[in-house]
Amino acid sequence: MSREEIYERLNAVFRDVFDDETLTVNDSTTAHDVEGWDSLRHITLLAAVEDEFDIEFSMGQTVSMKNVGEMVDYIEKEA
Amino acid sequence: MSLTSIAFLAFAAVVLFVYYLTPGKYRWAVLLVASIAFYISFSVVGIILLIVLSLVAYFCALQIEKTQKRQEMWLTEHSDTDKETKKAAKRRFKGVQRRYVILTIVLCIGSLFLLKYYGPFASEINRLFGTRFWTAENLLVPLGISFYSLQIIGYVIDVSRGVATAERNPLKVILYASFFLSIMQGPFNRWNDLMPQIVTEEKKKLEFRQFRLAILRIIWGYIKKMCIADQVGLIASEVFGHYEKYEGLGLLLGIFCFAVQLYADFSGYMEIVNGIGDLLGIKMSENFRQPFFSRNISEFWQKWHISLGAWLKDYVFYPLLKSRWLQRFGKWLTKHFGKGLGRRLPTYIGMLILWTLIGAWHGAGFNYVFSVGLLQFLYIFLGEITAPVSERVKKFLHIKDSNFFWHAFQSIRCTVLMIFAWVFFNSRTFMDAIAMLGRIFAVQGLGFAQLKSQINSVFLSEGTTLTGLWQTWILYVMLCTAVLLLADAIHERGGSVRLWMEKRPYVVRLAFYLALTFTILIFGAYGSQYNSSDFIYFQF
Repeated sequence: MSREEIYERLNAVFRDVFDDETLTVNDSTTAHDVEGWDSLRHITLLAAVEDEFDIEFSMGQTVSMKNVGEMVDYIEKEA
Repeated sequence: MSLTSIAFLAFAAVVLFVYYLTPGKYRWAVLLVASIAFYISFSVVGIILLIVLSLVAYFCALQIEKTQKRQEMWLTEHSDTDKETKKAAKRRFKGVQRRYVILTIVLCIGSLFLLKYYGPFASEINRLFGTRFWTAENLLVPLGISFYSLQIIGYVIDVSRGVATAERNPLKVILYASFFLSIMQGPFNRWNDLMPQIVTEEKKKLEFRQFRLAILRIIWGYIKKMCIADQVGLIASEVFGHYEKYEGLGLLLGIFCFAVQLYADFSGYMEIVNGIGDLLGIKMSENFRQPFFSRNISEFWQKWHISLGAWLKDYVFYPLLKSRWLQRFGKWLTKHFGKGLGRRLPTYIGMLILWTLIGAWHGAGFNYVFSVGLLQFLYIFLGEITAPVSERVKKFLHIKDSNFFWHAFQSIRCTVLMIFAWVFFNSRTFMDAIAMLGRIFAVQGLGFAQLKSQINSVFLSEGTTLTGLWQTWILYVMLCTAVLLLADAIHERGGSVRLWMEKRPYVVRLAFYLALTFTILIFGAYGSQYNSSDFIYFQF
């Protein structure tokens, strides 16, 4: 799967989880850049991404992913 | 060795001196000796438990890393095996790792439970049911166990998550657990943040500017502790200790003073230890970020006791939410009741468990579980479910988030909610807090006329370095609050008094340093009559 394809599907997941149809994420997007991406929504988001790409984030990744770019790197490797 | 004692200042000075005289790669040993000596100054027996638990963590982390390496080797050797067999093998290796994590958790939490919670729990059972269970009255709670046990667990979990590498030298694990700047009341340091700064061959030098800024931070910490917390705390402890003597405004003043005391005390401690950390060239986690400017309780807890919240989020909340049973429950809810409930309810269940644990971490009494646990959950939960309504109201009234008065209203609302919670937190029991809150309204009108005699009665019974009219005390409390808020307001805007001051001419700087020193000498609570009170979080 190409990075563009991943982003297309990933943006749909973000828009769904954060209820924002205009939301677009990129490699450098962090939790600070997305309204509502706090610790309460973090796992909801990861669970939705896991379902979408049929992958599983480890706890290490859950707590240490620094931006969306790292998330996409992992999806690219696993999906 | 209290942080406010001359002995501690002398100890810190000696540590600093020896630390910088020692070559870079041996400095960790200086800190280890200092930390053990510091711990022994409180408790000789307690250090044994700390060492045993550290060694357990050392052993378990090494075994986990060995298992991870075995897994890698197995996967390399069986690279052509099918996906299912690989998955099963990974599960097997993960199971072995999990056993070591569980062993560490059981021993750390078991010790914590036995030494901190079992006694009050057994006493309560005996009182209620007339039983005669052992109440562990001859066991003392070892210094810092609530802090170092969680740090040790965090280290082992980090190794199992592949976030940290296992330490080969057991003495360094002991240093991590016993580090004298964080052993008493935090901050909760992460292995990866703290240890690379301590165990380094780099020969850090103490620059004069670094020295000056750190000393200013330490002085500010002492001002918060000795001039604000300990002075204002006199009113708080008298009112909370004898609430039946007070009512109306007198009680409100005592309740407000406790909030000021708690913040000045805990953040003052943080300024002192982080300042000493700066002197050693070691940056520890910050625990406060202007909490009273928060717009809601959720934000408040991201700015108050930050390292505890961050620890619980990474090691309790996320694993809970990612647990198979909660994920399955979420999916079941989504299927039957829709996406909204399927996503929210598991989060709320996780939050409820998390907040109960935060409350219980502070102490065994229900007042702790309620005040900084269940009540906080309720605040956040209500905030979450009413968010759509408040958004609509805001839209209707054309209120923007950037509006100063709206922000001020939100911050005041948040502060009032926290002050209410702290009434339960600081009361001996839950029912004492209820009785105390009831007495606020026991007086006709505001009870302002009684305030004078009430304040005078505080100081007639307590005695203090400040004497004078009751109005002086009201002014003093207001001044302390204003100073704390002003300092926080400057930080909130990205400023810093220390950095601003260093650009002033020498004479102004000298006058500033002298003014700070005299503030401690004149307004500080100390001297032969003063019984240096422990920091509040020391008891947890």
